[in-house]
Amino acid sequence: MKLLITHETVYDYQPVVETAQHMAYLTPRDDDHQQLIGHTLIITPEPAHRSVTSDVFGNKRSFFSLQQPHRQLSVVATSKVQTCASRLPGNLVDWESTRERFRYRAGNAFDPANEFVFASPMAPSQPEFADYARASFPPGQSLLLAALDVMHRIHHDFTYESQSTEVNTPAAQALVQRKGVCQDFAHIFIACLRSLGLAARYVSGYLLTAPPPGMARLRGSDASHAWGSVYLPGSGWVDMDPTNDRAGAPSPGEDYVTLAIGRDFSDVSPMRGVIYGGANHTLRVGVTVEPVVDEALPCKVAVSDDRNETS
Amino acid sequence: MEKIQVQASSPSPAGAAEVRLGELAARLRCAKGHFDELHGALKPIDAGASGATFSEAYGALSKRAWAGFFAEFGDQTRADMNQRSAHLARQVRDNGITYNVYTDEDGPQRPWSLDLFPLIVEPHEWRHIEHGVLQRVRLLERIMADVCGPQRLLQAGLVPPALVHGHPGYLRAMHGVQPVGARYLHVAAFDMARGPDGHWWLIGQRTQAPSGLGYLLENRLSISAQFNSAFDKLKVQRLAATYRALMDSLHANSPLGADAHLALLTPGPYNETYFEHAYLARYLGLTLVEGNDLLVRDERLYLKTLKGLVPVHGLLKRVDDQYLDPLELRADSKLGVPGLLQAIRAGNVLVANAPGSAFLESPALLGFLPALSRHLLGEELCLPALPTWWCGENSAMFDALARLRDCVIKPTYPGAPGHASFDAVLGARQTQQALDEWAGRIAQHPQEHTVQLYMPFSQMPTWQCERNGNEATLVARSVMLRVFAVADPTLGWRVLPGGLARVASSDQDITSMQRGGSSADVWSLTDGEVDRTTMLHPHLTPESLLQRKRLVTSRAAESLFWLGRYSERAENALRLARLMLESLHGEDPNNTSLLTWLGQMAQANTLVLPGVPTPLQAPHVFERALIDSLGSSRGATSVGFCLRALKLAAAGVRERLSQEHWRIITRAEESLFVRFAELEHHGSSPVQQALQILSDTSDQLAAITGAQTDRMARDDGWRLLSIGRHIERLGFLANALGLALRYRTLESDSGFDAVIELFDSAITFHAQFQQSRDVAALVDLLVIDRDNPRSLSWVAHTLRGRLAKLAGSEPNELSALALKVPDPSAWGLAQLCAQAPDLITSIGPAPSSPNAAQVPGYDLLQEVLQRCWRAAFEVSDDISATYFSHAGLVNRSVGTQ
Repeated sequence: MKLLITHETVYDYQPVVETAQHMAYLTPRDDDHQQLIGHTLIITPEPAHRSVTSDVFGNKRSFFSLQQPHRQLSVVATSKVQTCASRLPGNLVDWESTRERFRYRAGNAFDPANEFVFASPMAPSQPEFADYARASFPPGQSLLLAALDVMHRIHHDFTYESQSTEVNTPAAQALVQRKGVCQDFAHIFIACLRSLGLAARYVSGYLLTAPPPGMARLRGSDASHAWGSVYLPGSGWVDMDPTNDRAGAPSPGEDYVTLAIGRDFSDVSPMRGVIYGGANHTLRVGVTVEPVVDEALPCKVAVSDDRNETS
Repeated sequence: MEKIQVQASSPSPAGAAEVRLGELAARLRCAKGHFDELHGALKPIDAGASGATFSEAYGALSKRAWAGFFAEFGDQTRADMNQRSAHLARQVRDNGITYNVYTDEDGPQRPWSLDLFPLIVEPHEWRHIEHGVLQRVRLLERIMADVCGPQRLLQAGLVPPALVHGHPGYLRAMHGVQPVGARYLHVAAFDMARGPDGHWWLIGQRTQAPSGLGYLLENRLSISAQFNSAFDKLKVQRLAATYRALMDSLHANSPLGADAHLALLTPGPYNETYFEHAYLARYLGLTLVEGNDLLVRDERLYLKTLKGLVPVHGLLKRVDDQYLDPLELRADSKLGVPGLLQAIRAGNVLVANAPGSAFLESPALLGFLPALSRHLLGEELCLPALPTWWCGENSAMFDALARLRDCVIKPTYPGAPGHASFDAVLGARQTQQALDEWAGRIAQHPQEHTVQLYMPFSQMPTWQCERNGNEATLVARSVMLRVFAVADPTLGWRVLPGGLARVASSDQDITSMQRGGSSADVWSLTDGEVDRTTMLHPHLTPESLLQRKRLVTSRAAESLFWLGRYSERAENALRLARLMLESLHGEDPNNTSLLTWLGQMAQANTLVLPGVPTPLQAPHVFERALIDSLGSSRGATSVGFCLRALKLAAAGVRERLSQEHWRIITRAEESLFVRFAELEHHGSSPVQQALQILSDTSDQLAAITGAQTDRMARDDGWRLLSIGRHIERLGFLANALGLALRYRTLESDSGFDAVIELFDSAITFHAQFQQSRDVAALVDLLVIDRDNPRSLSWVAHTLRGRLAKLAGSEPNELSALALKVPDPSAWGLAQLCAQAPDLITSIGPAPSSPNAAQVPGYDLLQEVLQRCWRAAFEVSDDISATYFSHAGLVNRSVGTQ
């Protein structure tokens, strides 16, 4: 599927910001599973300096700095992406042998996925996650089925509530509240698997949403999205989206676009920055995902969302 | 640590004072099971018990280098040693060597604790340590390079991923970064101790921001001075060449080579080891900077100074990695520089050590180093580490669990959020139940725990002063040695011939400065040449000299400005308080206009808390409140508050102040608080005592002023200090005279004298005008006189000049800021003294005072005073905006999803 994504971020500052430095993860991955056909990142005001590098996980990150006083910063990422079909592997490897694989002993073969077994800042190691996960992991259970069960349970047990958590809500708090947004669900999913010694990672991206029947697609009504991914020896990473109860490899579906991969949100925050001045700021984020029918020009985006939010 | 037994010789009638140091040394016993540094054996000969003679005991000692040391001082008595000890303690305090135990600003700075005797290491022993440390530091550099690059060691299974990828100190942002100069580590510290077998065993290593390189220098200076003859005779290897090598290497590896501008990055004065940051920076010729002194622009690092941005090419860092860059690492860090990692990646700045080395510090890694050494160097490690088991490996965990009682349990990831963090636990000290609980915790979270074999550390002689009725004597204390490896431009690495010995206090075996241990100098003896290189002749080019002169960081400038203001404010508050106490007990205690004026001044300067009755309403209550506030740093801003603020401002620029200057400041502050606290407890005739304290403090303040005017280089930093002082003086004096006019204080003799006294101009006035009390004469001296440093005219004139010079104006030209200060040349005595308001054309609105209608004339004078007073505030604000605020701006993190 060919998708066009427009992701606009606007900060309004009060008083002015004197200087600022930002780092953005707004360029979709371009790899075997997903092709990046076109991409622009328009920053206003024009940065004094900008550069693009790859991070340790192969994500593209953009640095830019602003050295002129400014009251507003607008960052518009426009990406055209070719996604591919998704499927679930027929992998029945059990979860205990996977766990053993990651346990260090002399002579054990190294697996790069091992890096995603360890606790990370936003998916810390806490017994509550193991307690929640345990029901899905009877002895000898296949890892794929167990992980799918965790996903189903989160989808079923948790309420999606857009104002219920902040960007930096610890996953443990969302677990207690039994509510949150996609980022929280992804973190809970990851923390659950890691608590049992399994490898899980965080995926940030977009999802094509269908407009309500009979209605036109509303510009900017979408949001960036996040989900989890579990490592199956022999098959690789299988993405699981507890928010929408969908799973598959290389992504939960053809309608998903992968922006970046990390241990958790803190590795791949779409934008982070340090500003001098600007004691108060308001933030608007607008995302539009639409299928590309022909080679139309990038559409104009109406920014509607008033909160720093994901779906 | 076990109780030390020093067996005194059979009680002699001559008294204990006659016992000589040599004899005490010969008879010193260390605790059972510990190696005896002094006698060089596990079990010292039992002279006292077996009745062996002194010479026999001394014979055993004489095989050690210590004999040479005690040969020099063997004849000294207890009294001699006590005197040395007291002298040393005074020197430590006078040099301002501190170790901040608590990190809040009110917390006490504890004087650095330094033992009288050095730890002496013989040449062959030192060669072994040196060899072992060199090998280990080369190994650490290789591991670091692999982890930041191809990670083959992980792939080969030689390092558990949990100790790299699972370690919070492994920085993904640094992966794939080839640092400028192609080396990651420049300084590393190795903690070791000597076991009962007489061999040295490694206990741990520090690479992030190891402390000690400054303290050990101070230790060396103090102790070598105490025992200079022994120091020369024993051929103690000197340290300076190693520091020089480090500096040369940092220059050679930095982007600009020999011309590079290098700085030492400190977390600031509240860090527990700030003293040594300042000390080391001065010794090495580095600019001492905090994170907010720096900024990154276009992937380059700059220092914010009074004259603008100055490039920085290298940082010797003492800030922990996670705090270095809020853009990529901890977003809440106020200690770092946003964009620093970018500058590092771009190769524009050298950071020593490269961020991301913290994983090397985990005790868990020690168990993997022997295999890593064979793999990377093809060598066996010649300095062994204590056997260490990382419990994340099943077989190691079972080994460890079986011997917990003989071990120390340590956290694998100490201090890391989200990980188990606890103080090391000595198995032998635990009950069986506690030990079982530890075993349970280990089994549940094996990766979090590392178990290290317990080893009794060797013990060295220390001098224990008289305490709790026990006479002073030699005691043996457990000691741990920190040895430093530093980069060398030609050899790659070299080991500092010396180190920091950390001495356990009596009830502990695990040495830690934070838990009240002490330190000792380390004398590494050489049988070769003593290297007499000094750091005193750094190769300065005219360019670097020029650059160094210009460097006044914005933060230092701000501290200097406040140092000036608080010095003056302390003097003013003190003079005012004295005047009040004297007036209340003087010849004219019922002088209403005088007391009203003093009461108003006390309120205006917050010498008493709001709500305290005026001296007219309740003189005794007022007096009590005034005295109470003098020695308090809270609420009122009286003398005590100003002195403490003065000290804090001085601490911020500690490295710019002379030793004497700093010493007077700390002594003045300490003694004032101590004496007023005593006054509170048993205060008979508190007024006389308070006056005495104020008088002594006044002398000290005069010395502080002297040091500021005569002992500081007159650069822009000093100019700001002076400006701060004069702004404070301008505001205070203008307000004082204005209030005196309003309340008719000058109309009585005692009021008139008090005003002159407050202007510190009594001597000058009486010399000129004898007993006359003419208002015109007073106005002439206190307002118009260009030769009296307390006259408003002099103050305003000086302020205008300094502000203009600071702004870089041409001589005889004034900057915009300077023009904000009223021009004293416009003031004429006749006009200012004119009393009839209708004869003068008023320049502005009359001073707003509730009873303005009743006060006598002097309208123009009042107007001038008001303008001076307002100018003090405005100029101060403008200085902040012009010179400091880019350093003070709040740094915020923003993010989206």
